[in-house]
Amino acid sequence: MRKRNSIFEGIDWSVLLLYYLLVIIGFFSVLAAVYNPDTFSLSNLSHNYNKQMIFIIASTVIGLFILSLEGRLIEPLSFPIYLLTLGLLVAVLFLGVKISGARSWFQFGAFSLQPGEFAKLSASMMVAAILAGANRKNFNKKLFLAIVVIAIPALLILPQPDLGSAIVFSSFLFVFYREGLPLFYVLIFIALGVFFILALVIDPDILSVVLGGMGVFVAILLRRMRRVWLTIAAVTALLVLFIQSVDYAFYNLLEDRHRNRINIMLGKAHDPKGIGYNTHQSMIAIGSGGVWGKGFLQGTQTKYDFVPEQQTDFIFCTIGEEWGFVGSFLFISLYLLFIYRIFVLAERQKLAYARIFAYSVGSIIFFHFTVNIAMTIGLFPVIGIPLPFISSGGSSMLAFSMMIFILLRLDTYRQEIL
Amino acid sequence: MRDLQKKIQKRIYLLAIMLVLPFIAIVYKLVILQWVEGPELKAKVEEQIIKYHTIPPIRGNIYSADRKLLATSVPTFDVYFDPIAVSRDIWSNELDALAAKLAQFSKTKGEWTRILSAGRQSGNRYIKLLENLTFSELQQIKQFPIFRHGKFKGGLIVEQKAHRRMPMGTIAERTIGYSSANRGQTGLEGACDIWLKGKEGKRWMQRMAKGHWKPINNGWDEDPVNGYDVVSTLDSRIQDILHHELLQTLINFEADHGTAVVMEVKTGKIKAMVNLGRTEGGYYAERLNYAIWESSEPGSTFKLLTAMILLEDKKADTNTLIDIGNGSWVFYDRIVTESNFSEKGSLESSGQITLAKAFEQSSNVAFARLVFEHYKDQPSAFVDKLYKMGLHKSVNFEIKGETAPMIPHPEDKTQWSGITLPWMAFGYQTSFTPLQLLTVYNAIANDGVMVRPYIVEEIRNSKRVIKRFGTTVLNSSVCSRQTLEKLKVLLANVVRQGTAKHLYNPAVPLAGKTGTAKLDYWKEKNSRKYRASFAGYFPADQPQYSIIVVVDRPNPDKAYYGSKVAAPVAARSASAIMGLTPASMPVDSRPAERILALSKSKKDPHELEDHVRKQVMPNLVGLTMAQAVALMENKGFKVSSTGSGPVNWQYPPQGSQLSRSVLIELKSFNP
Repeated sequence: MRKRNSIFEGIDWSVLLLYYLLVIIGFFSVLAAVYNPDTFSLSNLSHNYNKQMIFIIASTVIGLFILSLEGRLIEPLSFPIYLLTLGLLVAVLFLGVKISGARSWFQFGAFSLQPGEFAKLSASMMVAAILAGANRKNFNKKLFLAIVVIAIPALLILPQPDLGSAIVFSSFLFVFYREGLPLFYVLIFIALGVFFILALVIDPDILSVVLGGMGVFVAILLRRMRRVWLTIAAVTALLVLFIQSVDYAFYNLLEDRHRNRINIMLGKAHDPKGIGYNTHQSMIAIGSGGVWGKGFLQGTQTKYDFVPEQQTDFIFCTIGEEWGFVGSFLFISLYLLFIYRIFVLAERQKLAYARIFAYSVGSIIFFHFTVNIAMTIGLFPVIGIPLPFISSGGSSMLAFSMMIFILLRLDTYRQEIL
Repeated sequence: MRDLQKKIQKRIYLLAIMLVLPFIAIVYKLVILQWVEGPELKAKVEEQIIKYHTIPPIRGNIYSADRKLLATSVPTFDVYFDPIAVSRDIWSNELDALAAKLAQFSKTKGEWTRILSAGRQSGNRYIKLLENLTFSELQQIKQFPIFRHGKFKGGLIVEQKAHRRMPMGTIAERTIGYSSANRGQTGLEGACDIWLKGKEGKRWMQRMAKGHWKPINNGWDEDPVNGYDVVSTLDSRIQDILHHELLQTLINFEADHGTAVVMEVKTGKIKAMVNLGRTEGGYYAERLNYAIWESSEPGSTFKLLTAMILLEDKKADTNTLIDIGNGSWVFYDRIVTESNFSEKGSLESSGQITLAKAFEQSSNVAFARLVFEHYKDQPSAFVDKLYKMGLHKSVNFEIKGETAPMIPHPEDKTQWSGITLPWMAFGYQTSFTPLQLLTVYNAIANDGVMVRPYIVEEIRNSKRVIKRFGTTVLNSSVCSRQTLEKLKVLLANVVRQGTAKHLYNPAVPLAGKTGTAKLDYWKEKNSRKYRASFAGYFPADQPQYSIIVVVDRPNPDKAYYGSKVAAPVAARSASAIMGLTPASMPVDSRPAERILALSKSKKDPHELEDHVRKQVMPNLVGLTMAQAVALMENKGFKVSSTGSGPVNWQYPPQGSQLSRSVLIELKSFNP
């Protein structure tokens, strides 16, 4: 092991550069989303864009601190940080303040902290620590532990209620697949998702009958192989059970707002109450940007508050409206390049811990990015998760920046251990 | 090993595909949205059909301590007209009648005919007709020819505004102040804006034809939160007395401006604050808050502090003899003279006088010589005493705009010169606002406890107190017990046998000090501009209120001494104020509660609507007329109303069965 001359020695400049490009785009997007020429001021901290700039600076300071840490310290920190986050998640359920219906925030004067955002970071570290543990043989056991590790924070976030942030934890599926989870299970998970949606679109009883019929049909096709009949019967029965329980869960466990949004997405409800308003307005805003966009600060739809949550979950509207198709395409490409570089970094790690952590970070950012953009353009139900580095919000900015800087530090550490 | 690597390779490829698939989907959707549907969506933006309008909250009221309304918001209406909306038949039949009716409000019938016809010809769909109408006037106008055909056929456009009214007229106008986007914020309105303003509501509206918006029921509406009420410490009766006494004096002496403040000794509550300045029109009005803003050299009223320091430091006692010579003292190239030498009979005899006499007669020479003699070698000892009392600090009054006091310090050579110390002794070189000086006099009246003056007593909604403000002690003891007793005697004697002895009233003994400060003396050698003042408290033996009166630039040909111009205002006000309580004005809380009950509705609108829906007449008494009429008309009832204030009387009585054929009558005693 050799000593570093500078904390930047061997750093992956492409990831760092892309990171700063994105946060600067974020700052200008937040500015454009809430811009009001009468109150414009770069010193008034009650404006969201000025808060955003403070968080960018704070992230940089924390980032420099992370880069100056001893590389070998990071892995042992996983468990304490994970425990701390769990503590905060429990505490916020009792001590947190309610903002727009969810008890997800601690309030400190003008600023608020959302522990749920940091849970993604600490879960990534913990999953990496568990899966990277020695003893390759017992993969199943480790996988089970890892699933428990991500389930606890997800279940703690769910009752805030914040379904969106809880769903984000399913992005670890990518990590598990990369680390050896058989494709079969991944497919099952995806299939369950498909059946989940099918169960909502089609009457579950009809679907059950159709499934039963298909089971019988397959059984007849395979009439020579009587031994698999039992398997077919079991699979069919399980699927029917799943469909019926989805129906139960949908009508008894979900909140109205989620149910409504999913219904609208699936085209089931004709949107009588106007719940689809957000998506509708967001699509009008993006569409009205046309090919070339309206120009910086020229957007009307976001500025006049037609689009709700314009500076947080619907920030992409501002980009779409003001920069048009060309700008949106460039932005999405830039973002994808960033995610691609994270995975490249992941694959070149020598330490399993670093690789798994990098995969987790990449997967979570990818999940956020895809779902957020998809929901603003009407491809996915609105589940209210921010666009990392772009959306206004300190906790999300700090947590995602910490992920990137820890990743960069692990990557430089790789070169120290040669 | 090879196998494993291959396996991993395969997994990575699959992951990459998973990465790219959503990307393709997103880009595809963007192409559809922005490229294909872009123009269509752009057009949609042009006629965006849903948006929210803000509903302004009702600003809270300001009350005096005796629960009189000082400021309140009443709705007023502007009416506009869209002549294009009117059909040809209605137009030709009713135009004449409408013009005749409008002429009842302003202009002539002929003028109205011209305005309306010209508007219809030019296609102006937004002609301003009348503004600032009361609710009952609006109800009248709605029945006018053409307009009576309703919103769409009649072309009448009504816009509601909240208009701030001060029921006490010009009294305390500046102290109450205002808060508006273009004029800024002053007075209580400005200081308490955060409590008064409330929170805007949002209502989602759908655009209908011709620029009309219709509310939609989608559950996103946010009701406005009305502002809290502010109860000030001002006493409307004391304010009224002080206002008229000061106004009369300003008129009599043709003064430029004046201010007067009354403070409750024990608590620091401001019971009255009057500021009157001459306007261009020649009359007096509340325009600037001199009491808290105008900082100036206090003149002889400062001698209280000089005497206090001399007594505290045991440099002199009330019977110490001072040689004042022939009434003038040459000091460097300057001369200290007795400003009102000729007026003071006893001072005309020159020679030796006691400190007590010097105070009563307000001798400049005596104080200048005494202070110079004892502090010339260590002026800091004198000045530090003032700093120690905290007099160099603002009193941090709630109403914005206070000017900080100025006391030069010997260590600051830019402020200090050879004459500073002796001139300071009789009230020059330092600078205080009337309110700051009053705080000092109040401390003497309050047995040495200096309390902060305050003007906001509590913040409340109609039901409960949200926040209550109390007394803040600035300095728990400004001087020793002995000094205090001596100063009280000195102040009482000023009125008993000194400069203000002509104002002595044994029924309400006043204690205090007169002051006559020369203005602009550094600019004009023989300046004849003066500021007359009086600061003190009453009754002298058991002080209840402290008072300061300042009259700026009285006409010197009439009079300019503090004793002649300012002190009489204090003396007359003191007698009137002490006459108020408790005999002639028992504190009656009944009308106060009624005002509170009437001005703010305690009723739950949903509950009222529920009644109406069940065809039962609700109790509308206490609602504003606008609310009550809107509630009943929206449910399809015919309403006749008189007056624009809160509803005081209704027919049918509460609880009776309703039917659409019954005319509902509402009356307010407020015209």
